[in-house]
Amino acid sequence: MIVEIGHYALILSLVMAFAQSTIPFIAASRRDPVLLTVAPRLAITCFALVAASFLALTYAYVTSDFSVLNVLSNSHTSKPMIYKITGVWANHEGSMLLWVMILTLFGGAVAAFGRNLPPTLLARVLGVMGLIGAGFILFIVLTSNPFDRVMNPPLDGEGMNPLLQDPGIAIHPPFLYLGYVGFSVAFAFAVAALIEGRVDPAWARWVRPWTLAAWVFLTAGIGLGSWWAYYELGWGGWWFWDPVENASFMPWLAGTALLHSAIVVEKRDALKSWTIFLAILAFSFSLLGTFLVRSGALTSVHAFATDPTRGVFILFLLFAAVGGSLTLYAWRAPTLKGGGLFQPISREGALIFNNVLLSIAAAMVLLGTLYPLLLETLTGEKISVGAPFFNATFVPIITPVIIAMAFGPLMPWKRADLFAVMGKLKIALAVTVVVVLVTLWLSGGPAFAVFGMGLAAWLFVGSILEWAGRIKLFRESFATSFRRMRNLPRSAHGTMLAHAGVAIVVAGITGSQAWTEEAVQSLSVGESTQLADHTFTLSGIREYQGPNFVSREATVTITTPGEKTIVLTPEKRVYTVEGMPTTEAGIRSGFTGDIYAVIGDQDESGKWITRFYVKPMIPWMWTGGLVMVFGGLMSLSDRRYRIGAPVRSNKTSAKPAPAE
Amino acid sequence: MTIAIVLGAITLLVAGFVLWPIFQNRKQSDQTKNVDAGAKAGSTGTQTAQAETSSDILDADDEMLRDLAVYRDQLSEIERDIERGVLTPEQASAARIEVQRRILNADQRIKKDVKAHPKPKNGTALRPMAAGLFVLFLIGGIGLYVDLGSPTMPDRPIASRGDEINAIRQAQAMDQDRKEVLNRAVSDLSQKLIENPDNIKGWELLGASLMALGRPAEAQTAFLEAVKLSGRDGDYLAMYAESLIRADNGQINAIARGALNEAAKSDSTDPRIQYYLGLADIQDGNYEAAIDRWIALANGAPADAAWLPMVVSRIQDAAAAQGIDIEGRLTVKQAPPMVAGPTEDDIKAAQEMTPEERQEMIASMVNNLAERLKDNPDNPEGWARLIRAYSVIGDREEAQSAYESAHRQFADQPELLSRLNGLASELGLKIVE
Repeated sequence: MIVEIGHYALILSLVMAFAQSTIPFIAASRRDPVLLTVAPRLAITCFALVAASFLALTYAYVTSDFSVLNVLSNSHTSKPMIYKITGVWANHEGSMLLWVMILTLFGGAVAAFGRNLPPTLLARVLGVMGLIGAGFILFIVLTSNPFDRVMNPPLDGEGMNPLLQDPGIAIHPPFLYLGYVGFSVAFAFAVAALIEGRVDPAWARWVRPWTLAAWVFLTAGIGLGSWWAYYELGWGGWWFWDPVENASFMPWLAGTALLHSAIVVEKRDALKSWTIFLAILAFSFSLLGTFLVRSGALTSVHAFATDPTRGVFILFLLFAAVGGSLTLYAWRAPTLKGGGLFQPISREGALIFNNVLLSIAAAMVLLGTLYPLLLETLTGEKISVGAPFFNATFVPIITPVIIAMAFGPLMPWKRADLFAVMGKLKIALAVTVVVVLVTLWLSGGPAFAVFGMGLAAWLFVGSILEWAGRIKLFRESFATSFRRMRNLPRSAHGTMLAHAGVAIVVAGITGSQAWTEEAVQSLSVGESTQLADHTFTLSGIREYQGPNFVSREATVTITTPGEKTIVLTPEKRVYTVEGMPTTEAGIRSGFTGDIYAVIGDQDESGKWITRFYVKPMIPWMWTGGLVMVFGGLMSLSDRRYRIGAPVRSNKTSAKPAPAE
Repeated sequence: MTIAIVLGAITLLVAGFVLWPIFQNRKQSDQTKNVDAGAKAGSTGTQTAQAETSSDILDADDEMLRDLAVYRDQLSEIERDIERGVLTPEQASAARIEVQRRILNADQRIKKDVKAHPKPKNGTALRPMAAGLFVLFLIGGIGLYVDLGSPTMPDRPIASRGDEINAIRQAQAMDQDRKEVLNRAVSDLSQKLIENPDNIKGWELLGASLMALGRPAEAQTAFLEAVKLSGRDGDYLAMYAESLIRADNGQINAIARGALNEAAKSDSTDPRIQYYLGLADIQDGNYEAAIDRWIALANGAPADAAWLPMVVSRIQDAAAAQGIDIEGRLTVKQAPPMVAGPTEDDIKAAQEMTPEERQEMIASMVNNLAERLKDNPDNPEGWARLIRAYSVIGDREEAQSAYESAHRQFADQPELLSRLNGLASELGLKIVE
């Protein structure tokens, strides 16, 4: 019965979504105070119902109820409990349900925390979210219903793609979706503002935390995804410019621009049109990503949905949402009144520069992602656009952004003196020169590596300098600096951390791309090979039985003169139910880099094919990502993001309540 | 029924929660009217109640307060910026002036807005219309669920499906036991036939056992002996032909054909003769002849013949596939509707044993198991299987006594005892204390 309750709750949530996409708009346009209070109730109920249906599906997975087709096709009794639970969203239907649950969660949260928003704005925001929800719940119910039943269920399921049976990939989709769907809040606010015809500081104040939260999740999701690819796919790669990766990267770029643009609206009452546009863009990219992944238009490791009716449905949703919002933008945006004036050289100007370049970068990624699809649709020719294209287009666009990132936070609002700002960056320039020279001396190249390391040093030191300048580090006593640091708003720490995080990522990418060494060879047990300074010895092979797989585990001993011996145990697993092999790389991470070992099959002579890599600086990438996420969280926790709650019922006294 | 109540309750709960403000406001505006009519307007109680339903959330004052909260925070952030040293006092005062300018702008805008949107009259047709819209969606949703859902279908968690799993294990165990019995029969018979090779029945039994074990190539030698010894008896020829066909994966070769034709001329009434001759016709592409042959076979068969439905459905399949009209030609009752045509395996299973043989086989298996448990009683799985098997063949007394023996055997193992007692109560046996 629980399964059927789940199915019913899903359909009821569709009812709520339909009501939510009509009644609030009526209420807002007629300014009916009673109907305006119905809107938040609809949003909260919609979330409760979707959550109930998600829990019901989870229950079916946990209890291995194979009368549910979705469970039958994607689960198995021998699967460990954790993957029974994560199996709920490791398939098309379940992941769409997760998507919608997160969407309605955000809608419910806006409804619950939005009581001090202008009620008509709140109603319209919820209305827009209701429209998105209605489209996607309808999509689930009609084309991807996870509650389809089987009359005579077999006694066991068909199992789950073993690549997805991994803790990293298990939490990757929820993070990614929290990011993707988080932008729906900014989108809804943008569309609602276009309908209302005004964007005021209160609006930006609301959009920013939601955007920042979405950005934090998306950053974490992308980081997790690349980390998983790195250790699970077994070729040591971490980013393939795969269309599905691009699909998550485009909203990230647009969201990053949005985040910065919203600051200007909040602080300077300017760049309203830009901010609205970026909010529409960020969520449109999220929808595009959903379309690319879910339609099966692409064939990649991620594409586990191939059904044209689904593709057409999502394509229609995509056109309706993007086309509708952009039309509204073209129509209403000119009526938005611009606020504060500023000079081209100013914080605002720097942020416009940032907006423009990040948008162009996103457009480049979009071109590289969609061009092969369009070409194939039009001419039938299959081409693949890979790293060379993106290196040639994306890197030149993003490089000036990184250079400017050191300047931006040092620039005052309204008008700035570029030479004064450069003066503050003298130390950064000096450190950059030193890093470039040291890199040249130690490695002798390649040129891009020297350049990349210099770029990273410039941004890292620049970010720290801005922060250090604020706390007057080394200019005052240490105690004073410490006190000033404690007084600094958390968003200032957040900016510094996020920017420094980018620098660390740049260094990690540069180092690992430039100086990775690899060796592929056949070894008998006991034989060794030499790579970089290390001696890799295959010291043993054993087989063992896991809960739902059999594994061949190699023991690789790595000795380095003057260092401790390292033992790695790479595995090759075969999942018995699915009959699929997976690679579990053996990785030792350190400050300077990773040592990475993969065990393959036996060759004709009975030797084991092994692959060893030495990847300098690669952990810096994920460390940098973590630092960025931490910076975002720091900023999110800053007081100024909190909504000052006016005491509404206290209207007899005209004096506002004291600030919290 | 329960599900209808649960789903109904959810629906009412949801609808009630969503529509509550409309309902409540209706009640209150009625009250207000009464108060207005009865006493002087503006009783404090009514005012508070109205504030709760937020009927005044669109007031200019409230909107101003909301905006002021933002501006106030901006002003205090300017103070913090001074503290931080980001702003000089001059910059700060400029910033303050800007915020104040914005406050003035907001104030003007709000006053204008409120003038442009006069407060709507309470209790217009708007609210019932919205409620009606909601109910309409709700009815649509219920209709959609009725179309897509399976409200009568219970959950089937794997933990509740122990019986099905047991049944399959049981069947596997029975199959294992059967194979053991058959293997023993084969070796015993072979021994006896070496000593006494003229025993026709012995050869027949050996052949049948080998067929049941899925070794038709060996079975054909045994049947050939029986054919020779019996002076080419029709029944034995049919068995021989079947073993040849089975060994050749269902293909009817020249030897099998010869044997079948010879058997057809004898006085044997074995249905397999005509059935396989029909199959041979089909393999030659001669569907008409096959259908004629099978119709004659079916029409002449006893009504309760176990193989009859299978032959009838093959006739219908062949006729349907070739577009041959057999209307009125079959005098037997229509075959019970089969979901799909019988597979080669179904035919094998149907032909392997008669019901009596099957009963005998089970009985011998059960006895065999009982014998083994007598020799080697420390086998809890075996005892459980024996108890179950007795109750399957309907021998409750034996089941009870087997259960009691097992109970004695494992008297000192409480865990096994509780499992045994569970099994006994499931089968309705008397529980030993």
